[in-house]
Order: sequence, then structure tokens, then C-alpha cells
Amino acid sequence: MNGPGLLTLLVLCPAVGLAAILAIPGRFPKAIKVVSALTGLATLLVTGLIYAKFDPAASGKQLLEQLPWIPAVGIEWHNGVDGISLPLLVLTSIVFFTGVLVMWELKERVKEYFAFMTLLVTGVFGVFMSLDLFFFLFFYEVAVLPMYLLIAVWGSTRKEYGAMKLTLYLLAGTALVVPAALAVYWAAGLNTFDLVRLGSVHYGHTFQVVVYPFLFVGFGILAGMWPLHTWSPVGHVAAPTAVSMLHAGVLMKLGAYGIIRVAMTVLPEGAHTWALATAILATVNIVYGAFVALSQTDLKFVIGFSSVSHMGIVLLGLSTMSQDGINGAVFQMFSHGIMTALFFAAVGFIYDRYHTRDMTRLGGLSRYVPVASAFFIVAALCGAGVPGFSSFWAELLVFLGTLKTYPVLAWIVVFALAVTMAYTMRAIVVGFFGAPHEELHHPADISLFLALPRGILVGVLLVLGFYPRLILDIIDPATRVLIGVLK
Amino acid sequence: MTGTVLAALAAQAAPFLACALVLIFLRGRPRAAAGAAIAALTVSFAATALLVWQVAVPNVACGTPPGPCVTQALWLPVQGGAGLAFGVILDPLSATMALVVAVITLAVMVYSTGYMHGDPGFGRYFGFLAFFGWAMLGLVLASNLLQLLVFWELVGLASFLLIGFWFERAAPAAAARKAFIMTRVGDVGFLLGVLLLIRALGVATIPDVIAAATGPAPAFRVPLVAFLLLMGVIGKSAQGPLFTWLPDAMEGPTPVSALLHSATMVAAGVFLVARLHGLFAAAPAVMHGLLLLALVTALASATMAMVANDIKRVLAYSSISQLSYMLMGLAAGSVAAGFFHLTTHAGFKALLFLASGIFIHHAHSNDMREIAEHEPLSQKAGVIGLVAGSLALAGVIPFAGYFSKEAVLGAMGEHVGGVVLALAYFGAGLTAYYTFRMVFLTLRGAAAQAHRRTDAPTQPGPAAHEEHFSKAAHAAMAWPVLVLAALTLVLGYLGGFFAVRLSPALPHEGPFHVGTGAVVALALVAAGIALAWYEFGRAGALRLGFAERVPVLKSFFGDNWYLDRLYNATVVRWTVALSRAAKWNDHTVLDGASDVVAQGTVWGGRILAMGQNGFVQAYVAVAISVVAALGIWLMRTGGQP
Amino acid sequence: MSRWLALLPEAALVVTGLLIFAALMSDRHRERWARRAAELGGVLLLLACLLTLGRSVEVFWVTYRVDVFSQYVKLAIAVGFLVAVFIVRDGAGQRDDARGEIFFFLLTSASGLMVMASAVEAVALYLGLEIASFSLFVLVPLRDRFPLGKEAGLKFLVVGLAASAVTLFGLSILIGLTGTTKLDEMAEVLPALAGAPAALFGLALFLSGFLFKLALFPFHFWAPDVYEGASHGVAAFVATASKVAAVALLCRLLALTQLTGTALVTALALAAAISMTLGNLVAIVQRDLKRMLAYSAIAQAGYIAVGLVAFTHDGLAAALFYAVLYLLMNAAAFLVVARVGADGANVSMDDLRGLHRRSPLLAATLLLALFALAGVPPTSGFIGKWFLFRAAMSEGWWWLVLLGAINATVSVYYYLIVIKHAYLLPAEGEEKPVALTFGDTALCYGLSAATLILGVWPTLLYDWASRAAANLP
Repeated sequence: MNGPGLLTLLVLCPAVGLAAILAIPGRFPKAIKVVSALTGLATLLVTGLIYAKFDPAASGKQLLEQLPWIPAVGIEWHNGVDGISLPLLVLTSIVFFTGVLVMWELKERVKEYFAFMTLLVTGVFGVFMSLDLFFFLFFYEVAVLPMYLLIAVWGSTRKEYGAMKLTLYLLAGTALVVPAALAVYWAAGLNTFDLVRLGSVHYGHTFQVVVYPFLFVGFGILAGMWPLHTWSPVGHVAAPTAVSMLHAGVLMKLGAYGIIRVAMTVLPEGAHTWALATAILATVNIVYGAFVALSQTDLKFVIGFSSVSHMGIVLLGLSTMSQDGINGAVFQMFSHGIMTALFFAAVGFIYDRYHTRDMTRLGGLSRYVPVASAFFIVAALCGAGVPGFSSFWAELLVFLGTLKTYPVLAWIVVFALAVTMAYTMRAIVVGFFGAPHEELHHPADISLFLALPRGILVGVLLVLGFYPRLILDIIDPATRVLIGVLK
Repeated sequence: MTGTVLAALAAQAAPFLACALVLIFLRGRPRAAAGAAIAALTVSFAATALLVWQVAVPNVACGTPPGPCVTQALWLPVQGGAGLAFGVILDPLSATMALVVAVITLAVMVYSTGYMHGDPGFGRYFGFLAFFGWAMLGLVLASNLLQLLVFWELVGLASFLLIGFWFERAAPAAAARKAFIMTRVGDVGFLLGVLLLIRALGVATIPDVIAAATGPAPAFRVPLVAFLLLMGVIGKSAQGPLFTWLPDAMEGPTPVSALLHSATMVAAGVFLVARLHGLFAAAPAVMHGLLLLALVTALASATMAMVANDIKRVLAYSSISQLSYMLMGLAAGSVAAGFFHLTTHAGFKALLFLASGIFIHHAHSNDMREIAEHEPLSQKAGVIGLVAGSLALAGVIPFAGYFSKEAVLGAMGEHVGGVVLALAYFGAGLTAYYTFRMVFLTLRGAAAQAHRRTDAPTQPGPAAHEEHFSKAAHAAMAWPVLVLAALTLVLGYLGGFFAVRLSPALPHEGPFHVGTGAVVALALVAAGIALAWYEFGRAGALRLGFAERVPVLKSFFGDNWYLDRLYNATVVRWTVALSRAAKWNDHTVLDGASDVVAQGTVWGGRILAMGQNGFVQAYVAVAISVVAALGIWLMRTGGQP
Repeated sequence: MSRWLALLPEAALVVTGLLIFAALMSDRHRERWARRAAELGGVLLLLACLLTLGRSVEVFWVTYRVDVFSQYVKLAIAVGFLVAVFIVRDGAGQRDDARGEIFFFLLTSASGLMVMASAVEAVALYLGLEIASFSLFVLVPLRDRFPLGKEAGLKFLVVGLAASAVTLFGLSILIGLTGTTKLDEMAEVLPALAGAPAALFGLALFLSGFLFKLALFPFHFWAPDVYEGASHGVAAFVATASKVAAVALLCRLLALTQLTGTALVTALALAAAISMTLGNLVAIVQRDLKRMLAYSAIAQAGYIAVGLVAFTHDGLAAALFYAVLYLLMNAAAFLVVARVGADGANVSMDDLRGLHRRSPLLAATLLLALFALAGVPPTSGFIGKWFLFRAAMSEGWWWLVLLGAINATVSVYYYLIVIKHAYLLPAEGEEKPVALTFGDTALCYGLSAATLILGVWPTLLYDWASRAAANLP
């Protein structure tokens, strides 16, 4: 029983920030933004400390905290990180911090906006660190609560429809997860929601086979699993910039993380039984997403469907149940988070300035806003799996894992890379190359301050693109443990 | 050894740093940008020269059997294997190729200071050039196939950025996109091949791969892997069905065409075959297929060169056909011949492009006939370069091209016979013909001007833009041309150097093995040149080639043998249709379905709400009857459900 | 003597009653005096309940028992009464000559509920039920500013009487079968004839009176009309305090005998399923806020029944626990309704437009309350439903739990529509800010805080609830 430590501190950071934001009167937007930025900085700092204290060599959970919460039903405040959750914590801090900076120009209802945003982040941190099934789902839904308003109030295209659709889909997912979680709880019969102990129990084969789909689909919805992905492009298009960043960048990872942490860890046999099916679904994700993205004209829709495609790679990696595959999947979760955050940040600037995201109405942007365009192009190239950016390694590992387990699927997804390149090129060439549309009013290029957050994201992509072991050495031991469970 | 390794690393590091420096800080400062880039490439040049001196000249080899020297560190841990170690590979092949790359890049950079003078994107341009230099050297010195693939993609990226350098014009943008996508199609195969290798061996260090392939029982299907890797080669070196991106790539700045799209980058495919020759040799069927494909490509592109009027496109087609010759040499089993031709070709093709660049810059047009109308002979350096380069390309003794092409044809003579060989020789003749067609069309303007002056389009004469074009810039463009022209005279005598180092198996091989082959070749070349002179060169010539006279041939040859049309009509159309279908499905079927569920729920509410009709009698009736039903049920079931 | 201290709450009730009565006698400012008296009495009642915690006593020939269970329920009722009194404020929406009377009849109703909480004898139980109901029968029709007020009152009366008739019938069957009216003795006899259809039927009928209070299918029909027809304060009391008492009594009666495996359980499960689904679906199409809350109340009754269906200690505890959470969150919602419709008129969705500007505090309170009703963390609704579902799952009611979870998702849809009006849509015309007294503000903060704190750290309350459930019947 260790008392609260860094992890509790981490989840408290945004909570305290939220309190502070609520305390500041709405007529001081500047102060609110500063406080939010400081909150982001604080989370970065604490994650840095966690990263420093984390020992990559040691496998298993670290920085454990455990204290009874509702003993009567076996709910504990039980947190810990391993090589799978640590990168995601880092990811969350980075995206949160940069997201705050990206929204610096926000004018309307600043206080409410940042309040909801910090609340959202609190939930995300909670999920990534929680080892108690109850708190896992608790935070999982906390992250959902503010989403509707964030999109419906500050969003754009079809915002109310998008917000409602997104919220309902996500809650429908939890509607599948909660009964499954309770079923596991009673099947274990330990009167505990402790994921570690729930994971140590061996459940009946039939039970696993029946319950696993509930968990996989329930979490999969949030991971953009085909054919239940349609909330994500619509929602991302509707959402304001930073929310798109957080949502595509971080929240979709919650789903995949739930699959790893709950579904696969607790019900390994179920995972094995359904592996082929999920792998095929994931392949559909990849190919289908790429094809749909190929004929979109709204840049955000292109990104939205590319997210569907890339999350497919994550799901595929998980479905391989292999070292490389899962390493790649987790790496891809991180890398796609950063990449898609950069994507939305870049498009956000363009939309703020040009008030359109239709690539056919834009065009030649590189002439007038070269730096802002460069950010989009970098993100696009990263998405296309060009080496030098982190995604290349992640996808490579997933393909390696798949090639071993499902050779046919591997061939399919590798050849789909050509389509990926096609829609990437289309977006770049149509939207940013070619003759500038003179009738558009072309603004000044992105300011240094606004370039800073985007620059940070590019930096991360490049650093990991050049030296993937920086993150792989952390993921690998945790994956070995998971593989051990899955054996 | 460490010294050379450090040199190899320095050769890559310098351009990388320069690229970062330029792109981040110096985009707005042309002189500083050019300075940084050129300085960096000078370092690379020195380092690679050292490599050649230390490794290639003494023919250093490591291990048993003697092979390339590899120094590497673990880069990417993978399951079921030692993991992927990245590093540098040092042997005559890599060292020589590195030097070639460094020299050409340096020359092109110097030339560009003049050619790109005053371009708004000057700084960015040099940043990209430095980036390419880094990527290409990395490719050449990569010790691991995956590492090689990484840089392979990066040179592709550089190519994309440089073709689309003038992105505001539609044509370059489209060309860049086409190049990137087409090469990616090939690279997909390459990637799969590498993945299969890694999956099978757990490592992808080049010597290990070759050893595994040539070993008694390979752990992987060698022909399959060889074929997949060749897909990458075909894409990158613009062979067979995937060559059509290269002519369009001429939309890039001329120095870029010289550097990437003739001398070095497109040769990367050839280099890969040479690098992995052991593996390919283990799949003879695939090699034979490659040979035939290359032969067809060589002849086809030659025919296209015969009817093109854009000087850069002529050169582009000739590049394709020369790459095919290199591949034929390799496919015929002689690394030396193929790589020798790569080297010489790098020299004289870069020379030709740079020279043509002088004319283009002078006449503001790529059209040879228009160039002819702007006193082409006034450009001394250009003339020298063009003539020297053409002689080399045509394969006239004693220019470099002659020796290397002889080596290739000779090597083929060893292995294939009959029709294939004859066609290869015939290709040499065609080469001479279209080369000198180009020369005459470009330089013999006087004859044309006589009867075309009248309807000549009024170009802004050279004088118009002379003033903002300084002497220094002229010199910057002239000197590299002259240096390369000189090189074409000496490079040819290095054949023996390659022969003993790269194909020790074939000792008698080499440039001076003059047999019937050489005589035949020279005769064909002479014939080709003569025909070109007859049709284009002599006073009062019609300046219209025999192929151009036949409309069918003209359009067929002039339109890439209709391949682009074919692709647009099939692959592209199908892909677009498929994506439209997918989009429709997503927005109509899937979204529709979820909306229907939502609407259905709401309607369910509406319908049920009717039950709340406000009649209290009904309320009570329902309540009581339900209770009564419960009672009856209880009695019936005796309390047990 | 000291044993009588356990009856302090009842004493407080009497005192308050007298105070209000006296206040109503005064000829000037009777409303204000009555209100002050009610507020004072409410506080007294609360204090009394707190003071008697831990005491236990049986009086009146073991028909009236004070124990953990009854104290838990009484405290909840006291809170509900006090909150209702605050919500009533000046009795807006009640007929002007009957504004003062609200407080008196609310008090009598509350006392009826308290009797129900403590009665361990069937007839006393029934009397408590009737006292509680009849006071409300009086209050509901005295509505002003709403055409259908009287009609609603009549419906309430008719359905209520029907229900109590059924209850009485069931009671008679039970007494006939067991030969006693004391619950303890019934508890000894019933297991002998467990599964006997007659006993089950009698029990079912006896339960129906409380199902009526809980507005569970098939006794739910009155809720929408009454919520809509009653003035805000009265509706609030109907929706909160009496619900807790109903749940409590259901727990007490279901604990009488082991019913697991009998048809009654299946019947209850079906009732729960139908209530959830029907309530949520119909709520979607409502425009009047109180009517929407009525249907959501039917759905919530369904959730609670899901917990009861387990028939385990866990299930009863979860139900008791959720009843209190529900009281708090629902009270918050009604507070917002009452303040937005301060003139006593009913509140439609459109009246909420621009609320986040007109009164950020009310908007936030509404947000939290509705998310709690929807069961989204960190509000108390999530953990409450978690406990209910957990209990049901323990007995393998997986389909019921799944249905409940799906229903929770559906419910989010219409709660979000309300939130959309409050937070997103601008008010048409000028935005007139909503006036809040200090008491209102305090209540907003208090209820919101309770919703959040209980949502994150419910340990104490839940332990208490499970102790209360432990010593039934």
C-alpha cells in the first residue's frame, strides 16, 4: 500500500488548474489563458518527473499508488504506469500544452472553454494511470462529459450534429463496456476491481469468448473501429482546433488503450479467439479509411479519415498478438497522436485565417503562408509513412508483426500505402501547391508564438523519427509482459 | 578503419547540418545559404575522396570470404533476431558511388548559384539540395537494407520537393505528385521485400542478406524477394511500366534534373542491384526478366527521344535508356560493366543537362528549335559541354561513354546471344541518332533561321535580361560544365579499375577488349550520326526525322507509347471510382444507418407518448389489468417462472 | 426517558406543524410567517434527525421502530423537505389564497413519510402512506397559472386511490395468510409459504402502493401530468422526498422474505425494463421541462428497480444509496426549474435559452444535475448506477444491466438537448438575468457540491446505506 505520489499529483494538476480557472472571473481572458498554459506546463513537468523516475529496464507497473476507496465493493485508488501508459501520459501532456497555446487567439467564452478542456484532460490522465477498473471507466467517461459542449459551442461545420453523434457513439461504447466489466468482476469473485488481480484470474473459455467482443467493440468505437468510426471524422471536422487535437490525438488512444489494458490483459483467450476477426476489421479500417480520404475535399475530413486509417494500423498491431505488432501499435498510438495533433493545429491556423478548409478553394498556400503550410506538409508526409518521421517505424513494426501472423493482410495493408501516398499528395498538391487563388485574402504567415506549439510537435516527430529506440526501449519490456499474459 | 568510418559519417553529417541550418535560419539569406550548402558538400567531397583513396584504391576488404567492411550499431530491436543495426558499409562500390554523388552534387550546386540567381526561393533551393546530398550519401553508405530503404524514401522526398520547387506552376506540382506516387508504387514492393527479409533473417545487414541468399538453404524465397526489391528498382530507375514520371520530372529546375533525374538519384536503383548483386544472381530467372525488361525500356525510350523537341525531355528519355543499359550490364552478371557505365553516365549526362541549362537560360525556352534561334553558338561553354557530352552519350571513342557502353555490350555478349544482343547494339545506334539529332537541332540554328526568321515568335532577347545577370553567374555556370567536359575525356580510362574491383570473377573484362563487338558498335554509331546529319545537320535539311514523318509513330512515340493514357484510363480511374464508392458508402450507408437508429429511437418516443393520452380511466385500467394479469400468471405458474 | 429522545424527529415535526399552523392563523403576511416557520422547522427537523443518529428504540407495542434504516430514510426525508421548502420560496404558481398552506401540507406529507420509514406494522405503514399521499392530493390541484392544474390533481387522486385500494387488498391477503400485521412476524411466517402464489400475489398487490409512489410501470401514468400540473415546489417534493420513502419501503417489504427465483422477481424485472425504456424514449419528445423530468423519473425508477431485482443485501443497499443521490440531483434540477420559472409558470426548453449568461450558476447546477441523472462521472449518478448494476449483475441479470446501460446512453440524448438550450442557444429577445436569493445560491452550491463529492467519494454514505439495508426487516 503506497500512498499517493507523482501520478496522483499529475491527475491533480489539471484538476487544480480547473479550480483556478473557475475562480478567475470571466472578464480576464488573458489570465485564464495564462493559467491554462501554466497548467499544461505543470503537467509536462510532472510527466517529465515520472519519466525520470521510470525505470525502462524493470518490467511491470511502476510508481504504484494504492489506497482503499470504497472497501465495501473493492474499489481502490490504484495507479501505476508501465511502458505502455507512460508514452501516452507524455503524449497527453504534450498535446494538452500545445493545444492550449494553439487556442491562444480564442475570443468567445474563454473561461468555459478552458475549464472544459482541463476537465477533459483530467479524465484522460486518469485513464492512462488507473489500475482500478472502476476508476478506469470513471475517468474514461469524465473525458466524455465536456466533449459535447466543447464541440457544440466552439465548433464549426454541423457542430451540433457532430457533437451529439460523437457523444452518443462514445457512450454507446461504454454501454457495452460497463456490463462486461461487471461480469468480469463477478466472474473473478474477488470483490475487487483491481485490474492486476482481475488479470491474474483465469476465466472460463466460453466466458472469455462471449465477453471479449463487448469490451473490444465498446473500446473499439472510441478507437475508430470500422464500421463504427463515422463519429470520428464528423466530430473532428466539427470540433474546434485544440479539441480536434485532443480528440484525434489522445481520446482515440483511450479506446486502443482500453483494449490493451482491459480486454486483452483480462481476457487473453477471448483475444486469441477473436484475433483474426479483429485483424480483418482493422485491415478494412486501413484500406477503407485511405480510400475515403482520397476523395474528400475538406482538409479536416481528409485528416479525419486518415485517422481512421491510422488507428486501423493500431488495431491491426494489437490483433497480431506479437512483440513487434504490439510494440508498433503502441508506438503508432503515440506517433499518430502527435502527428494528427500537428495536422489539426496546421489546418486550424489555415481555417482561422482563410475561413475555409476546402482544398479546392484554397491552393498555392505555400506561396503566402509557407511556414504554416510547411507544418501541414510535414504532418502529411509523416502520415504517408515517409522515413525520418516517427510513424514510419511504428507502421514498419506493425507490418513486421502482421507479416508473421497474417501474411495476406500484411500484403494488403502494405500495398494500401500507395493509396495513402495518393491522398496525401492530393491534399498537398491541390491545397498548398499550384497557383494561389488571388481572390482569397491572403494573411500574414503564422506568428512565431503560434508556430511554437506546432514546432514542438514537429520536433517530437523528427526526434523519434531519427531515433525510435528512445521510445521503443520503454515500450518493449511492457509489451513482453503483455505477450506473456497472452501466451 | 575508424578513420574511414569517421570520414563516411562526416560526409553525411555535413550536408545534413547544412540542410537544417539553411532551412531553419537562412531561407531568407541567399548568399549565406549557398555558401553553407557548398561548404558542406566540399567537406563531403573531401571525405568521399578520402574514402576512395583509403578503401577503393587499395581495394580493402573485410571478413572471409572477403567482402565489404561494415561498422554498425543497433538501431531498432525486432522480434526473433539480433535486431536491425544501422551503420556504414565500405567497399570500392560504396566509396566510388559516394565520390560520384559528392562531385556531381558539388558541381551542380556551384552551377546553381548562377542558374537560380535571383530566384525568390534561392535559400530553400539550396536547403533542399543539401538535403538531397545527405540522403543520397546516406543511401550509398547504408550498411543495412532497411537503412537503405529509409534513405531511398528520403531521396524520393528530395526529388518530390525539387521537382515541385516551382510549386506555384501547375505542371511542376503535378509532376512532383506523379513522381512521388509512381515511385511509391515500386517502393511498396521494396518495403515488402525488406520486411520479408527481416521476418526471415531477423537482420537485414547487406552482407548477411547476401550470404543468406547465396547460402545452401536460404531462409526465404529468394526469387520472390528479388522480384519485390526489383519493383523498387524499376520505380526509382524509371524502368519498364513505371518510367513515365521521369520525363515529367523535367519540370524541375534544370540543375535538379542534372543531379537527381539523370546522374545520381535515378541511378540509385542500379546501385541497389549492384549492391545486392549476390542476391539477385541467386535468382537467375528474375535477372533474365530484368534484362529483357531493360532492353525493351532502352529501345522504347530511344524511340521517344527521337521525336521529342524539348531538349530536356530528349535527355530524360536518353537517361532512361542509359539506365536500362546499366541494368542490362548488371543483369548480364557484370557488376563492373553496369557500375562503370553508371559512373561515366553520371558524368556526361550531368554535363549535358548543365550545358542545355545554359542554352535554356539563355533562350528562355526548352524547345530546341527556339534555342536554335537565339544564337546558341554564342554560349561557348554550352557548346563545348553539349558536343562533348553528346559524343560521350553517343559512345564515340575516346569519350567516356564509349568505353562503358562497350563494357556493357561486351558483358552481354558473354551471356546472352542472338536477337537480344543484336537489339542492344541496335539501341546503341539509335542513341547516336537521337543524340546528334539533338545536337544539330540545337546548334545548327543558322540553317533554320534562314527560312524561319519571318514567323519566329518574338522572344525577349538575351540582352533584355543580361543586365541583372552578372558575369560571376556566367562563370559559375561555365566552370562546372568545362570541368565535367574534361572529365568525360578521362573517366573512360577507369574501366580496369572497376573491372578488377567489382567483378574479379571476370578478369578479362574491361574497356579495351576490342572485338567484333566494338567495331560493330562503332559502325552503328557512325551510321546513326550520319543519318542525323542527313536529316538535321546539313544545310537545307528538312530538320524532320524519319519517325516524325509518320504521324502514327510521332504521336505514339511522342506520347510515352500511350502508357499514361492507359494508366489514366485504368488504374487511376478505378482507384478514383473505388474511393468515390467508399465515400458514398460512408456518408450515405453508414452515417445513414446510425441516423436511422437515432430517428427510430425518437419515433419510438413519439409513439409511446401517445399512450399517455390523458384519460385517467385508461391509466387505471392499464394499471389494474396489468396487476390482474400478474395475479393470473402467478396462479398459473404456481409462483415459479 | 432517554429512549424517547430517539423520537426527536417526530417531536420536531409536531412542533413545526404547530408553528406553521400558528403562522397561518395570523391575518397579515401569513405566507411569509408560514414560510419562515417551515424553514425553521425544516432546520429543526434536520438537526433532530442528526441528533438521534445511532439511537434505536421500539415504541407503541412494537409497531414503530427507530433504527439505522429509519434514521437513514428520515434524514433523507428531512433534507428533501427542507430543500422543497426552499424551492417553494414564495409559493409562486400556487393559488394565491393557498400559498401558505403549501408548507403545512408538505409538512404533513413529510410526517407521513417518516411514519412509513419507521413503521414495522402493516397497518401503520398503510396509514403513513395515506397521510403522505392525501396531503399531496390536497396540494396538487391548488395550482395557478396552469390550465390543467386541477385536472392533474384529479388524476393524481384517482390513480392514487386506485393504487391504495389495491394495496389495501394486498394487505388483507397478507394478513389473512400470515395471521399477523407485524412485519417481523410476517417475516417468520412468509418463508414457509414462499412461492405460494397467493402470498406472492398479496405481496405484489401490497407493493403496488409504493410502486405508485415510485412511479414505476404500471403505476407511472400520473407522474407526467402531476409534475406538469403541480406548482414547482410541490412537484419537487413529490419528485424527491416521497421517492426516497417509496424506495425505502420497497426495500423493507422485499426484505421480508427470500423471493429470488419466484415469478415476482421476473415481474419486477420486466417492470424495471419497461419503465426504463418507456421513460427514456418518451422523455426524448418532451418540450416541457417538468414533464421531461417526470419521464426521466419513471426511467430512474426503472434503474432503482434494477437494483431491487437482485434481492441481495447489495441490491437493497444500492437502491437506498441511489435514492438519496437521486433526491439530491433531482432537487437541483427542480431548483433550476423553479427559479427559471420564478413567476410560477411552467418552464419549456426555450425558456432555458441563454441561461449560461442569464445565470451561470443555475446553468452549471443544471448541467451537473442532468449529467448526474444521465449517470456521467464525476457526478454521483455514475457511481449510483454502477452500484445498482453491480448488484443486478451479481444475480446474473445481464440483460437487464445491458438494457439499463443502453438506456443510460439514450437518456443522454435528451439531457444534452436541455443542456444545448441552456448553454448553446441564445435567448430570443433580451436576456433577462435570473434573480437568485442568498438561499438559492447556497442551495445551488450545496447541491452541486453534494453531487460532485458523492460522485467521487461516496464511501461514508454507501456504508451507511448498506448498514441500513443490513438490519432489515
